[in-house]
Amino acid sequence: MTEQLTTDILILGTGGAGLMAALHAHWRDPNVEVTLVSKGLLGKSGCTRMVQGGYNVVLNPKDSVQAHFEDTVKGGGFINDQDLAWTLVNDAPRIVLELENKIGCLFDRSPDGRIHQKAFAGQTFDRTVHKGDLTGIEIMARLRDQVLHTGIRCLQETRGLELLTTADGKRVIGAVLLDIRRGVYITVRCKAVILATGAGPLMYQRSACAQEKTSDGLAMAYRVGTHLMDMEMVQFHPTGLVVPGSRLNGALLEEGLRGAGAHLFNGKGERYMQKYDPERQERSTRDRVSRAGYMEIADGRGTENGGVWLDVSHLGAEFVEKNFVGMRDRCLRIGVDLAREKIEVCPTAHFNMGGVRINRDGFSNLTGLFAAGEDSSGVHGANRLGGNGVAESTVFGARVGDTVVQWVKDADLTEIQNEQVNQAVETADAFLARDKGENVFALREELGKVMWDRVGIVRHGDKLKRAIQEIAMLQERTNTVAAKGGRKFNLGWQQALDMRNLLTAADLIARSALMREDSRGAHYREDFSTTDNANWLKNIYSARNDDGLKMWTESVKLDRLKP
Amino acid sequence: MLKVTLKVHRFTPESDKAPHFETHEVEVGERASILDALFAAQRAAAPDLAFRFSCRVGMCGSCAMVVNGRERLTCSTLVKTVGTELRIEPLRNVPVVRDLATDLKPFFDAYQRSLPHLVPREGLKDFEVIPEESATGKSMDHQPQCIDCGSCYSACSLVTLHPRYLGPMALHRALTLVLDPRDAAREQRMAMVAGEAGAFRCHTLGNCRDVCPRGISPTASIERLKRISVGDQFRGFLSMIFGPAKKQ
Ligand SMILES: Cc1cc2nc3c(=O)[nH]c(=O)nc-3n(C[C@H](O)[C@H](O)[C@H](O)COP(=O)(O)OP(=O)(O)OC[C@H]3O[C@@H](n4cnc5c(N)ncnc54)[C@H](O)[C@@H]3O)c2cc1C
Ligand code: SF4
Ligand code: FES
Repeated sequence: MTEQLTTDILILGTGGAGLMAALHAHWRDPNVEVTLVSKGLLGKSGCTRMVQGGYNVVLNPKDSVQAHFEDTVKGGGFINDQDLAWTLVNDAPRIVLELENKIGCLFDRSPDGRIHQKAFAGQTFDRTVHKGDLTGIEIMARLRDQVLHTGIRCLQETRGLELLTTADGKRVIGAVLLDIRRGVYITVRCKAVILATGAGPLMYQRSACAQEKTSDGLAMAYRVGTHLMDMEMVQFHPTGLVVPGSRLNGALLEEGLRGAGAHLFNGKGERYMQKYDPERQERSTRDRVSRAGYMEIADGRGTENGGVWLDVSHLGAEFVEKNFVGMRDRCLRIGVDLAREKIEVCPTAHFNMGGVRINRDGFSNLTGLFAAGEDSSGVHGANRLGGNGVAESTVFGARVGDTVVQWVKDADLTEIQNEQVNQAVETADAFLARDKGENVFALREELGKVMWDRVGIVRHGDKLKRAIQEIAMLQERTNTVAAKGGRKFNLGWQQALDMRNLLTAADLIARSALMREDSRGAHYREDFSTTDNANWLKNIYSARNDDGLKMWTESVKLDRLKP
Repeated sequence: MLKVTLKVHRFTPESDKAPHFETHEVEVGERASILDALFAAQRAAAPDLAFRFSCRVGMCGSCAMVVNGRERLTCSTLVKTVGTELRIEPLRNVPVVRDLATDLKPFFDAYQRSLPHLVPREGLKDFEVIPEESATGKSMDHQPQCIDCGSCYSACSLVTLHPRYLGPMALHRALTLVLDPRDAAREQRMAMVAGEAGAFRCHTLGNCRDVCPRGISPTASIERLKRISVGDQFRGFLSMIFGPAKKQ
């Protein structure tokens, strides 16, 4: 049996996108009932909390939204949805002001008292607003404060398990949730669902993301036939820590270090970026810097532990101590003083540019299903600029909140299809029922390796084909996982449920990567190593229909900027 | 490699009569954190061990536990800095959900009661200009950011004695807002600070300051609130006798 809940708007995820959506919906009309669902704790889970460097926004009269737009689309290899990118850069100034003066964030000031904007790589103007080098804490804590104040219901440590649709599959009418603490299922009937679970490339063995982000939203959306786009576009951040044998492995050192003038050296002491991008060198875009690092390591010019060196000590110890307090702390913890010595880094999986196909108000192809933030796609194209991620989640979270609160006024609650609920419960319960089976933690490590080696920074058709087979095998083995230990706060069981979604997303990433026969942004194919604008100014779509997976391409609309 | 003996608190309130400690011998790397040691135990023998974490880089504040008798942020504390015999317990002053995972509701309820949200004053239009050298700039709280990890709440003996007490983190936040030039709720905040659940409950024991993983001193913040409160009362007293002070 499952518990029942009825609400107008169900928001899955409580990162920047989820909380902005909730607040905007509530502010517009407090009579519309909003329910937030968080796999972790309110304000404390997801990657918005982990934002270090900051938030890109045009505030300086010498800067312009056109310049921000062009940086975003050029950085994105011209396959961004230009309407979405344009919306991002235009809304961002208003939303940052709202974050300060309505929500209560206080970003860093210059000595003269005006808001400070720092340099980020890949951009033509210093436009990144920040709070030290731990910006996300401020944004999430203050959003949480306002959400507490509104009294919006929030189910914490509760995961979205499956979306529910009408019998014809055309409209999303609810969801099945699992209360992780109690191990109890909850069937929700609602008028609209907003997906804001933050996607997350945790299927790679090195990843910078928060642990909840196991692509649940994307997998749930896929299972009910939502159109996903650009799934091959996974961003690798060039400077993840190298800490063998620790979960700190793959954790980020922020973009601002390169913005401020960090140097990268290979194991032989050569500043290799001079070779890969002589003009911008270390301040080049993430995709290039990651690939360069990866290639240096692959060609045997890495460090002992398979990394490269990041060095900021030439900027002066005092400068580093003052401007990168959080990053220095992080390194000190593992015994390296960032202000005075170099540190070992290696690329790490960071962000999904791909996801649910949306329009500028967050509509998906299914009635009643909306998405915002990292669960969506199109804003960043083939590569996201540092600082555009949290801008995206707050801008589009706000928009979707404003939209949906109006939209639900003309929408009805619909009867749930019981067999869908039963199916969801049976699938999840199967792991608990089994006595003996595979160790899910070991399977997860295997998946991490497959993705890193074959669907990673440098790809090849043959490797991708092999990965697709291996993922299918892992899927079968995951179906035999036994999760002992009962229903309550059983992390092994949760991991099995995570694994199922990671595998779904991993498969879509590998298949889309195989389909895209060119190199662009974060996607690099050894066998198609050039950018082919004649044939590939296109987006790759994937969706499930009655016959299984369907994939197709559509040309990008280049109505504001052409390559 | 380090050989570590973990003694881990296990408890499912609905089915266990009392908590017990389970011993796990694990091997971890030189630079492993306490959280890494828990992962090692989880992977080898305790797949259902309940504990909480999210970011593993010291930003989310989910992973605080009591290790060898003291609150610590487990993702950010290296095993070797504490020792290879680790006794791991859940935070105090909050109920246990299971094993090492607590229900932080009392902590966040107190926080919510403390009016932690900015109440923007009217007419705020642009980004507030706050020069570093101005009186406002200097008086604002410049301590590191709080990650609401609950360590201070767990370590505070006054919270144990008076469950209504708002506790260190909530009062620290109150100070930040009282000093924020954009806030309009100073009076309400100071009334709460002076109230029975407020700053004057604090006996300045400094446990919160000792355990805060971010190097915040809630004790200092509370002391400052007390001074502001006493100052307010004194001014109130003067204006009772001499009439309201003229605004300069
Ligand atoms: C280490 C790091 C540093 C970053 N630094 C920057 C930066 O400096 N600047 C920048 O612009 N961007 C940065 N980013 C990217 C940025 O964090 C993301 O673009 C953005 O925050 C995503 O916001 P979101 O709301 O979509 O998702 P998130 O903030 O990740 O939130 C996802 C939410 O969904 C919940 N969730 C997950 N699964 C489920 C489920 N099944 N059911 C219910 N809830 C679920 C999670 O608990 C969480 O609350 C960084 C990312 C990382 C990982
Ligand atoms: S003040 Fe320190 S100990 Fe208390 S919640 Fe904040 S970070 Fe944790
Ligand atoms: S896991 Fe986030 S602070 Fe430790």
